[in-house]
Amino acid sequence: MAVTHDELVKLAKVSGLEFSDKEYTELIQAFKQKTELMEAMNAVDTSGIELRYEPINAEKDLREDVVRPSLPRDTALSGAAEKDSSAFLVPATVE
Amino acid sequence: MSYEIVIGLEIHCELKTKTKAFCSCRNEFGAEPNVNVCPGCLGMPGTLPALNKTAVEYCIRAGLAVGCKISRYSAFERKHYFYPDLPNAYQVSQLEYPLCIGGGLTLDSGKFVRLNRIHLEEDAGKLLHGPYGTRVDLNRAGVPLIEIVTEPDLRSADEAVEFLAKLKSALLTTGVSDCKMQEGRLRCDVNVSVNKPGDKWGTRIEMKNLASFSAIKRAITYEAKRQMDELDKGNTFVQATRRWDDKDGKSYPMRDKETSNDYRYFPDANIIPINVEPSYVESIRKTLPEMPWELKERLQKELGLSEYDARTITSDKAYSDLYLNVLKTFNEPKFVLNFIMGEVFKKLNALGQDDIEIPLKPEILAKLLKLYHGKTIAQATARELLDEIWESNADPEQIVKDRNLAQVSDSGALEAILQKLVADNPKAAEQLKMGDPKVNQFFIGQTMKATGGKANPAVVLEVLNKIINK
Repeated sequence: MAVTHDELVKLAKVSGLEFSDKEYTELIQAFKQKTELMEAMNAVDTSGIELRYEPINAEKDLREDVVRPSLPRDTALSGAAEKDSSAFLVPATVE
Repeated sequence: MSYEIVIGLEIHCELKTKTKAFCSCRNEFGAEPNVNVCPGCLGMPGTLPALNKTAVEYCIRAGLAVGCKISRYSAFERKHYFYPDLPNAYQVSQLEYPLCIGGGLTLDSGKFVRLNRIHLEEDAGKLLHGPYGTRVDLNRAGVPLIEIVTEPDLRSADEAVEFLAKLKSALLTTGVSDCKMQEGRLRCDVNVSVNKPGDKWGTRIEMKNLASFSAIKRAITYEAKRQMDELDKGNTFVQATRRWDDKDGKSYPMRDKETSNDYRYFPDANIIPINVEPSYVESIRKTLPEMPWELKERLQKELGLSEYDARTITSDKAYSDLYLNVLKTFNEPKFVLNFIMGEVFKKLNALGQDDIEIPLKPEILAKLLKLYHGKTIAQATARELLDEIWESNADPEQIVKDRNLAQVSDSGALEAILQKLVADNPKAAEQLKMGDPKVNQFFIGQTMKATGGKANPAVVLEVLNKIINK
């Protein structure tokens, strides 16, 4: 199964990304390698092998609901390209 | 042309956990912006989510309360979209393996409204729009939400509002959320379509984030009418999301509906699926309180309330809590019910809140009602005192004592007043002698006027009869 150029254009559109033609060609090749790997794995005969998963126990293994300190606000905002004293700033987004 | 309206709801309800869904930051409404954030909920690379046990428990608890089947195996997916309020560029949600499946609630008409599912997910941050751009507060990013999805079983705006009110009451009873609509802790997306009876369902239009009962009712009514008008003109439309403007009372186009695939859901490999043992589900079921519909049955059976009275007093947890707590110290079920459904409801209606809050303490109301029931104070005084103590919770006994508000039940004092009234109003007195009961009210009113509303009406009638029949 190969990924088509049209599928990648659609994926880029909904992901808000832009690619050059060269990048599309490279991406198609990269996807091809991945799908070939999956096809190779799918070709392995697993009939008769029981499906197994190891979920964690909802009662015993989850995080207890206990508050731990959050980041100091200055630290939280320190990596932001634009900020004011208490918030991240982004271009106006009005729906 | 007549049409059928088909409505489905997606209700988002923030859970009342101490911490967020996938990190240990505080889950708190109204804090200063960006004080409850950590590398996890900021979407920093290299962090891993750690699922909150209480959030899972609350989701199961909500599901059990409304009759859902609890999944033995449950898992989380990433739902992708780009927006500044979503640091990871995906929301952790559940698609294939929700925690709760099915269930539903019965409307007063007896109609059962089916639920499709209840799943657990995380909330996004908050955007604060201003003249110079948009500020992002990520305190809410990662707060646990349950999404309750109905089947498209609702057929009118009134049914939708009734269903939501019942659901809200059930969620409040379970204690998993405070459901404050004014704070956005309970929000509703509405899907509306119309079709001619017998035809297949029409194109679905979604309106997002409606945050009050009146907005939901108006939005559905407006949108259904808009769709009918379009169809009558021969127009068609595509599946889309519209924005409801509550001020204008109109819906506006927002975007074509992204299909489920465009969200590019895929399993969140960082969150291991969870195994919900039946014994765990049963242990949660055992802690469920009496639900509003169970309380309604009990009040009918044990206190002899009518179906209507029992339904009304259990329609909001604030009402039933007040009622039951007043009865603890003043056990006159029908008298208390009548006062709450009359005077207290009148007060609440005037306030027009979606989130009913009653500041008056039940024990204070019980004191007031004892005074009124024991005829120490007149009805008018009881009403006035209700206003006065509503927020202050001042002691009604003390107020009555301090201001000498007790009813005049002294027949001697009332006799003098009534004799004068009879003498001054011979025509009315004659009518009363002829047996016209309406005139009683005239004399009671005049006596009230003369005593500043403090006369005991029963004694007034007694004395009046004595004078007239002399």
